[in-house]
Amino acid sequence: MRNRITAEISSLVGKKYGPFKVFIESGAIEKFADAIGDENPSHQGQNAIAPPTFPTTFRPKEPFPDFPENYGDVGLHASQTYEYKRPIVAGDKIDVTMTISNIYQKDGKSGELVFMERDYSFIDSKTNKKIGSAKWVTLRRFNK
Amino acid sequence: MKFQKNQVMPDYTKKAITKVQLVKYAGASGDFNPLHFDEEFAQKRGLKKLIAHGMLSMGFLSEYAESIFGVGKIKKIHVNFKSMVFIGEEITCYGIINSIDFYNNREFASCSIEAKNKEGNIVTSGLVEAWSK
Repeated sequence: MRNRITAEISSLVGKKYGPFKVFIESGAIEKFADAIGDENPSHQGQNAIAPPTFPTTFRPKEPFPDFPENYGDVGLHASQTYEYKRPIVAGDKIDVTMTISNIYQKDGKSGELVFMERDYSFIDSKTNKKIGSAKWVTLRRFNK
Repeated sequence: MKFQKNQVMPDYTKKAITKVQLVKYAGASGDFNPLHFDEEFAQKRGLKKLIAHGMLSMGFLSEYAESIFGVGKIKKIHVNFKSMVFIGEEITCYGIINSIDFYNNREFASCSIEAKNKEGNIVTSGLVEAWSK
């Protein structure tokens, strides 16, 4: 096993992106639920409640801190977590912040795996109260 | 509905994943990785078929949990992506309530949830905490 976590890679830990603002539109919630095939009427109309995975749509426009493009042979999504104080609803304005919280390596059967954990926080712009959080874990595999 | 420990959640099978669904999900989520809609691109990367977004399978599990506990009742959902989901697959969601717990005097159910394909391979698995009252 080779240590793939160079000084350049470990320096990514603590890197922050945002906050960036997201406006929650009922149409976007409807389209997202429709793509999943979720026909529950609570995801439709002016007072639509967002499905729990809706924050996957919160994508920053500029490049955000990540592994270098050519790092590893394969990039994969390892795990995902969402936690809520309350559901996200149409009309919300949310401040989204992303922080790289951890990078670590595991030795897999197929090669070395380097994991990156990103923590997201979702803050209600109007009240400054926390709506929820997310953890997004991706990995890069170095094939044997 | 009353929820209790060791209660098996009724399973739920989604319609087969279509290319239209993958294109819709790409547009709605903003994940435009061509592996999800460009056959030639997928084949060049050694895949025999288009693969679904991992997050789509998590979307299925979230929908499943909300169908049981209600929309807006999810306190926490965590999943691990175990293996790829291919176009045309029918995904079945199932789960079991492990315990009934309390947070700030409010009752919630802690459940194990999984999504499997027709061959019985688990594609996505995880945990959900849902307000039960």
